[in-house]
Amino acid sequence: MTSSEIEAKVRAVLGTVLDRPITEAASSEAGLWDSLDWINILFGLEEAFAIEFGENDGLDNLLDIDGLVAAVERRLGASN
Amino acid sequence: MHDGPAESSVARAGWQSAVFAAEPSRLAVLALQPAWPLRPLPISVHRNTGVEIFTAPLAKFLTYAGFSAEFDIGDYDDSLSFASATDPALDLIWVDVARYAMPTADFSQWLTGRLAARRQAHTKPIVVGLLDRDTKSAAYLETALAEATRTLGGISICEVSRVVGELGPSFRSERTGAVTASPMSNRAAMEIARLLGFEWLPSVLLPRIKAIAVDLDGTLYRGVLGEDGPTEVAMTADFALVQERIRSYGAAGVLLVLTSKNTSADVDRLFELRSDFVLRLSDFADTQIGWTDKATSIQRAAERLRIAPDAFLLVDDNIGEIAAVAAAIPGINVLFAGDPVETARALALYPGLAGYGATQADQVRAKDLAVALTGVRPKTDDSSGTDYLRSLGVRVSLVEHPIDQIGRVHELSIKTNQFNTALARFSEAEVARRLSASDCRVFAVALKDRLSDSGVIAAIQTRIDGLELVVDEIAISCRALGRGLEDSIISAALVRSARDLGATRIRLVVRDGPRNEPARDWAATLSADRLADGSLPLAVFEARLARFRDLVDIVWTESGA
Repeated sequence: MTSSEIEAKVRAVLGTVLDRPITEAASSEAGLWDSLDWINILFGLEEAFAIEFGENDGLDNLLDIDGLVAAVERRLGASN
Repeated sequence: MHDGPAESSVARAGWQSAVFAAEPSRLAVLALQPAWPLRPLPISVHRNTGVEIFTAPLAKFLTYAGFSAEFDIGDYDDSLSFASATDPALDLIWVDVARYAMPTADFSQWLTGRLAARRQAHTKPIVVGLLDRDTKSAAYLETALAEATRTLGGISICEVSRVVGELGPSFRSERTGAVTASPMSNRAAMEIARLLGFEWLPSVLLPRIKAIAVDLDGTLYRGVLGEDGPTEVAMTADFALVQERIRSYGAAGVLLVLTSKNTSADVDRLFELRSDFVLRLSDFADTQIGWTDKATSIQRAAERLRIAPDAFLLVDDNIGEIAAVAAAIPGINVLFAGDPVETARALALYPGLAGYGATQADQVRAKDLAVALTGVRPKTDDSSGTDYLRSLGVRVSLVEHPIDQIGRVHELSIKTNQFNTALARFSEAEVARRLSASDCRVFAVALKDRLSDSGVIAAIQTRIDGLELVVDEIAISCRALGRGLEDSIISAALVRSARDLGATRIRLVVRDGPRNEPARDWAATLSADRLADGSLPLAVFEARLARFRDLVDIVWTESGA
C-alpha cells in the first residue's frame, strides 16, 4: 500500500468518525478531533488496516493526519 | 429529513448487516446514517471508569431502536455521589468493581444504598453495568443487586458477566487502557454497546413486542412451497436456527402468527410431512394463509389476538412486503429476513424482543388467549348473564400491596389502552413509591375460571385525600373484558381501599384517550350516582360488589402468597 493510499484510507476513517469529509488540506491541521473522537479513530484505524497499536506508537502525540499516517505506516511496516 | 415509513423500513433493513454482524465493526456501525424519525433520549451517565469507548456505537444501536441518544457523562466518581442535576430519561451507572477495596457482599450493600439514594431523586429507569475481573463474583453481584433493588422499582442490572464469560480473555485489553480509561477491548466495547442499545436499555424503555408474524417461503426454509412442493423445500441448519429462535419466543409467551401467500391445504401438508421443521402448526396462535396483502393479514390477526397491530414484529424475506406493511401499519416492527444466519442473530438481539425473559404474565396471556380463541369461553354482553358467570366458576384474587408484582402493575399501567381510566402510565419506580406510601393503596388482581388461569389482569391504584378516596388509575387487560367482571374487580378494590383508609366518598380520575372508550363507558354508568361535587358515595360500590356475592368468588391474598 502506498503512502497516498494509506493517507486516503486514514482520511476516510476520520471522515466516518467525525461525520464529515476530510480533505487533503486538513492533513497538517491540529485539533480536528477531541478525546472522545480519538478512541473511535484509534479503533477505526486498527480495524481499517488490520493492525494493533501498542504503547510504543506514541499515540499521545498524534495530533494531526500526518502523524496518524506515519503511525499507520510504522505499524504496517512492523507487521510485514 | 426523514423518509416515509416504507422508505424508512428499507433504510433500516440496510443497517442490518452492520448492526447484526457476528462481530460488529466500529467503523461500519459509525458510518450508518438514520433516515427515520427518532425520539430524543437524554441519558445521564454516572461512572468510575471509561464509557467513551462505547458511547458512540451505542448511540447508533439506539438509533436502530428508534432513539436519538444524548449522553450527559459525569466525572469519574468512585463515590457515585450523583452530583449532576440533569433530568434524564434514564440513568446509566457504569462501575469498575476492581476500584473498590471491599469484599463483594459489602460492595453489594454499599451500591444498593447508592441506588436507593438515586431512586429518591427521580422515578426514571436506572440501568447498572458492573465490570469485574472475577466472572463468578460478577454474576453473584448482579444477582444480589437485582434482588436487593427489586422493591425500589425500575432498577435493571445488566448481565455484563455473561459477555465477559462469552468473550473470555478477549474481553479485556491492557493495550488500549491508557487511551480509553477502560479495561475493555474494542470487541468487548462493541458487544456491550450492542447489548445496551438493543437489549438492556430498550427493555426498560419500550413495551415488549407481543407477537411475531412470520412468513414461510424463504424465511422459515429455502424454497417456494407452491413451486418446489412440501418435500423439496430445504431445511438447513441456518433455517432451523431461525425456527428455533421463533419457537423459543413462542414458549416465552410471545404470540406467533403465520402469514403466508399460499393455500391452506399446501401449508397443512407441509407441516404434516416435514418432521424436520422445528416449528409446528400448533405453535402458532393464529394463521393467516391466503392471497390477501400482508398488512390486512396482520390486522386481522391483531383483532383476533386482541392486540394492536403495531405490537407485531413482521419477519419476511420480501423487502417489498416489508415496505408495504410498514406503510400500512405505522409503528410496526419489521425484520428483513434476507439471510437466515443474520436473521437468527437478529431475532436474538431485536430491540423489544431480546432481554425481556419468559415472564409468567406473557405465558399466561398466551395460554389464556388459546382458550378464548377456541370459543369455549364465549363473551357475554348479556346483563343478566348470572347463570353464565356462575357456570364459569370465576375466582377474582386481589393482592393488596403486591410488592412481588411491581413489574406487572407497571406493565398494566403502561400497556393497557382500552380499559384504562386515567392513562397515568406509572413507571416502576412510581409504583414502588406508592406501595411504600401510607396514604396509597395498590392492588393487583388475578383472574381464574374453570377454563383457564388468566394471571394478573388488572391493577388499581388509589390514595386518600381527606375523606375522599382518589382512584388514580384502573387498568384492566382487555383479556379480562367481555365477562362482565369489571364491576366486581373494581368495587372489591375500592371498597377495601376506602374502608382501610377511612374514606366515605370516591373520586375517579378519568382522562380521555384515543382508545379508552371502554373505561370511559364504564365510568359513565356511575353518572346518575354522582354527588354535586362529582364524587361518588362509597355505598354505590358496596351495592355493586354485593351483586356479585354469589356469582364470583372474590378472595384476598397477601403479597408473595
